[in-house]
Amino acid sequence: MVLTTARPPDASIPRTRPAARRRTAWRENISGYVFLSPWLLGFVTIVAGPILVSLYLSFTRYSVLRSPKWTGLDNYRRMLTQDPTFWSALEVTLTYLVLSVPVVQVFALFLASMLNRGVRGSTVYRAIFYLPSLIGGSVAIAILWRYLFEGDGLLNNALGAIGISTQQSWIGSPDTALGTLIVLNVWQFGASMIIYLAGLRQVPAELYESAAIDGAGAFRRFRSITLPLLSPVIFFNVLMNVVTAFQAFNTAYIVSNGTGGPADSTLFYTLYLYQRGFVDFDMGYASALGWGLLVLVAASAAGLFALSRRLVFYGDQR
Amino acid sequence: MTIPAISAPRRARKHRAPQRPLTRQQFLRQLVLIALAVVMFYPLAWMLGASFRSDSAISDPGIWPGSQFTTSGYTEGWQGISGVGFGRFILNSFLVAALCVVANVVACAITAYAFARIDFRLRRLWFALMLGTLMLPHHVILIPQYLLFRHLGWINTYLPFVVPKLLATDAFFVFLLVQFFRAIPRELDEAARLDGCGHFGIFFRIILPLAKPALATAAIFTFIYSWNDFFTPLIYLNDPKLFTVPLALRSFIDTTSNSAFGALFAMSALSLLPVLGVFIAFQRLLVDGIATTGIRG
Amino acid sequence: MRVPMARRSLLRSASALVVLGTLGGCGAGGSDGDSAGSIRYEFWGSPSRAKKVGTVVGLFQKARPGVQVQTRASDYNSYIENLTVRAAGGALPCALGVQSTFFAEYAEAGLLRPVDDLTGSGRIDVSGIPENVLASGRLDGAQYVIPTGSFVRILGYNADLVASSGAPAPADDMTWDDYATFLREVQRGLPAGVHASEIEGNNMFSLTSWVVGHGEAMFDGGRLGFPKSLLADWFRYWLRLTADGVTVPPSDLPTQTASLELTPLALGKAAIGTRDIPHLYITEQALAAKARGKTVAWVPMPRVAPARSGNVLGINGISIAANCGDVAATAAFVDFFTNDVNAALAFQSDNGIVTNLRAQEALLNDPRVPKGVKRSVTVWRALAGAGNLATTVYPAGLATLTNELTRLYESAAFGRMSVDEAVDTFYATAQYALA
Repeated sequence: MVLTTARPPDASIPRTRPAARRRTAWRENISGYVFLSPWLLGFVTIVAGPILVSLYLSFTRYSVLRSPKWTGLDNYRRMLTQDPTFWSALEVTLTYLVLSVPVVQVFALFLASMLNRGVRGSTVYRAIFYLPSLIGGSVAIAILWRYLFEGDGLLNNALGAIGISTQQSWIGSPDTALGTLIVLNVWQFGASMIIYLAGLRQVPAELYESAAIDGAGAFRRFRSITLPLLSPVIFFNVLMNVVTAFQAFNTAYIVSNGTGGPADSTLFYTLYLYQRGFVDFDMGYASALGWGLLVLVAASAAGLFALSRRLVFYGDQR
Repeated sequence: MTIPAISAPRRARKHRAPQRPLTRQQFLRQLVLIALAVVMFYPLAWMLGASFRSDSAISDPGIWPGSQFTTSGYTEGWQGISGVGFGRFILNSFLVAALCVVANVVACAITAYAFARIDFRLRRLWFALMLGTLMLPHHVILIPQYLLFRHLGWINTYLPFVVPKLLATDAFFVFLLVQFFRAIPRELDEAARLDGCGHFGIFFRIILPLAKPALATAAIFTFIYSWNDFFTPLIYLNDPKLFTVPLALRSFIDTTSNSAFGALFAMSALSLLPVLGVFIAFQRLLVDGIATTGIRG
Repeated sequence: MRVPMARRSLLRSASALVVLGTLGGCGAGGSDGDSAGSIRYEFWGSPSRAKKVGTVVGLFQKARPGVQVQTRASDYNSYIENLTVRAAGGALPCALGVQSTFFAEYAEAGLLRPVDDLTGSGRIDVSGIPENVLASGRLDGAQYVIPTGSFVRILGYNADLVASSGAPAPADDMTWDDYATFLREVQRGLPAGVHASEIEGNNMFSLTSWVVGHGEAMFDGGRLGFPKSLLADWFRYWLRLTADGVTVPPSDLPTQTASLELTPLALGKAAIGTRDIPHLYITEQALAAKARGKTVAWVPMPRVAPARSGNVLGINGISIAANCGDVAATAAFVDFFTNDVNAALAFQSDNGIVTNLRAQEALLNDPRVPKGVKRSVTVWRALAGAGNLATTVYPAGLATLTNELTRLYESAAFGRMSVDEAVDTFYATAQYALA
């Protein structure tokens, strides 16, 4: 059963005269804006305002407790040419992103397809795999994670039990501290997994059955049916994971106690921004950092969208 | 390709097939799942054990508290802070989360439908702007937004939590639903149009029923984000009687005085239960689908 | 049966209105400005401290009926963030807990009300507070903070662990060189995996002790008041000790700033570390629970010149917001908190050693007061009585420098930066932050 059958001309599109088409277009516009009205209202009243203010602040010296003073491009100049911490924070964030996003997605998709097959006890597994995501950025996690990865913590105890003895403090050493946060992110893959599960549920069963009848093996079925039909959801997950990875803050904040240590090895971009804004009272510079990030994230998103045009198959395409 | 018959979603039949012995493939699958489940669950099991451990023994390895077993973490934590019991915090969190779920799912579904199914002028522009709102770090708009809400007089109420949800400001969920809606074939829309449905009809009769897994996902996630949200209550709530759970949990650990570890872990474990409950309740909807031919795999 | 479209959307909007109405009413009417007769007091601390404050507030409201005090507690980091956002919005509570280390920023921005008129007229009685303590709440000659608790960092040591190493107990008047020698002696007798000292190189308080003990000033106008070479020596002092295995390894640095009960000293992994006076007792409890030691004793910070103390004084206290709606009530509250003996007995010196001398006496004499509290007060009085306290200026921008010191020391400790680079960077940051 092949998916790309040519379709008969769509009898549902009325053959209309230009005036009637204009009327239909007009109706479409009205409907569109009616449906969009809550969002539009929200955007105009409570979203756009603060965003524009923050853009303005990025061109000022704003110490939070006093009025902002216009300084033009000073903040941006400082950010790009006089601030080595900016670059190291960016590096930390990019490393985190590049290492954790693919791992999380692969895990999530793999387990979602496994659980989708009606495995015994799948309800329990679903819950267990999702549980870590539920606990979010709780401060209990910080203590737990430090305990897991310190010199005589749980991990080293477990390694000792299987014969690898080490006293290395994973969380106290700048070379491995970021790694512990990546592991923390991967531990919380359950959220992506749930989204994949929902997406897999929308794939009609007969497609698999007909493919099986045609003799396609499990891998071929996955590649030719699951992947294309799931591609909108995969795209969503990857894009959202990238966007949130760029803005990762909570776990770094609580595990490093707000310092980004040791030696700035867990100083995520947004944590650095937070320090500049709320600890140094340099909110203008923090706003510039924020907008710098927005540009970077938007560029990445645009890139992903461009890629999606070639790789993502939507059910509503003709 | 035949269009699957649209029926009211049925529960996947809990069809107990006669117990067959596990095939080797299924056995391996179970093994992998169990191993992974143990690894994933271990940190939480430790936390549960720690909640029954006295504060002085907090850094002991091993899950079971053994001789240091005590329920004082629970009794102490339940008393809450500033004379407000922890039960009140859980109730507050529930109220806020429930309101957020309803508001968010409704508003985001409507907005997502517009982006996914209606071709209106400037659609691409609004879509790009909507996605753009996700990309600005939250701390940068924290203060301007605080000033705005203060100007509106919403400080010390739950309005800053719920109204933005009602106005679909959660671009994450709008985008999620857009992707799911777009995965639904357009032929179904056209079939409905032939029946005389306008956009409202298509929305309610075709898209919503078919996107139940997506809506359930959005509901679960909204509940959890709202439940775990720390910053919004921190800056908008003055009165401890209005506090939510994450705010209360943070105050158990203060690096300048003695910390209440047992209470922290106990209340963290306790506050996982409602979220887990919501998840389990809603995941039925994830299991339901357009199960037209019954069990798969 | 399907509800017709129109009725459904009507239902929806009606319920939305009801919900919004409830939400709007769900809270103290949305007003956050403190008005006459009703003030807010916000502070940081654990739930146990919140309970004690609640008791004090109860006592106050009985003594002054007609004034409502609403309290709010959060953990330290959250408190600071919250304070900043409120300050930006002009919504500071009438009474806010502050610390000498961070109040300057708010005072300089005009957000705190100078209280000299209140102290001068006796509305807030500060006669029971020693002058050097009061001075820490002053900026540019104006009093911004009424100190309710003072803190001083001294050297705490695990007496049993030190004794087991064969070294004698540390002396009361060590110089920094003596101190290094002492640490090495202790280390020689300690088992593997246990170290003589925590790392102090990244700690701003310890650096202040070093600078002040050498006879220099930390700050001078908008600049650092001590030479670069002094900072470089400080770095090298600790790097050398670490290299020789006398301190815990740098990878243990995160545990030093975690909760008090999980620090190397509290877990028996280090014998000595700087601690605030009340922390000595908490650490002792933690050690006792693990049977790793019974007593945490203390000595003053090392110094160089005998006349210069290295014990640097800081305060916790209450400030009054500049736009407070009811100054009279707030002043009464602050006065009560600071001077009322029953309040002191209820609060039990929970946030620093209680500053009022009469309150100190009361705490020492009351049998219901816990042992740890009495010990802390006694330690304080010993230092104060011997005149062994130094003061320092706490300018705006201190928080930045505190973080910067940690960051730079860690970089140097892990070999990512040379000492000279670190020192230069610190001075460059100071120039920007203190300006």
